[in-house]
Amino acid sequence: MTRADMTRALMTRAEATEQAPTDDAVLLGALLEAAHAAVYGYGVLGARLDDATRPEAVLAQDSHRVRRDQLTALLVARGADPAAPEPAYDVAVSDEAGALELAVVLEQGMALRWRDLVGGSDDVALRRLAVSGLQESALRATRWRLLAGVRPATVAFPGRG
Amino acid sequence: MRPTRRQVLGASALLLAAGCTDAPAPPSVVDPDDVLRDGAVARERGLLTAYDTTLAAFPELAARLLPVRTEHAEHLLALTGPPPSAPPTATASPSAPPPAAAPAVPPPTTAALALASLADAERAAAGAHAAACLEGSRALASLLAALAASEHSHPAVLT
Repeated sequence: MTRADMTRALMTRAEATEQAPTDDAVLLGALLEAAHAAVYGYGVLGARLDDATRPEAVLAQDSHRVRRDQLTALLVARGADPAAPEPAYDVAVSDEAGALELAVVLEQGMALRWRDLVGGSDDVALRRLAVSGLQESALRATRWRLLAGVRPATVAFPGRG
Repeated sequence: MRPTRRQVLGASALLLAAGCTDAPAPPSVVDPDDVLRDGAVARERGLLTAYDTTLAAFPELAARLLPVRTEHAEHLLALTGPPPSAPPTATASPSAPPPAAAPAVPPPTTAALALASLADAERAAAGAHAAACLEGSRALASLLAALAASEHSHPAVLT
């Protein structure tokens, strides 16, 4: 089975250039790719968390599923072809510390792209969706850092690449 | 002093009343980004004041509050630019009335109440930054969205 590169799915950004400005569909497509990776990643990392912490990973995964479906609908509405999830991603988590670390990476990857959408679109509805997604990911990243003992647990500019 | 919306509308009404409808539209006097940025600056200054007030009353909270205060100082810097190279016009802004009311924090009686009050102020600022980022240029919207997200995450480390 082919295993997709999770880092690429999370971190490859739709860069706008003078010659090829990104449009909303490109930014939404990049977000959808990251959302697929986040849904998969939370499934992997949740298995390494204890009973007290696992529910938070389940909630996070549910939230990313909702965003994934929203993004898919927005792409379809724009006549774009929404990417399907990869069958698997090359991610391995061996313990709780690794699980918390991956959770932070997943949220940072989503935050990066939500912020790209705010700064790359003039569509008010998309900006509203994006800032809401960015806030959610920033808060979840902070919660995971707190659980992992990472200090400071907040960052000044969530979504900065 | 920047004209208020009312003053701009009033001036437009005078032009219309004087029958100057054939005159070319007056150039936009207010850059919308300036209004949005001023609002965000006022919010960050209000938060910095709230943290300073709390730190003075409850020095034992320093380890928890100082990292967050530092982030607000970074936010303010990102909005206003570095102070040494700031143009002379920037000196007018501190005395300008803030467009949004700065969070007034009456001295809470316990550290727990003080933290809850700061968390409330963070939530209010997060909402206002998020609303502001729907308008304005893409570059400013991107910055305001980051501030909205940062403020949204701060209550998690306060309470």
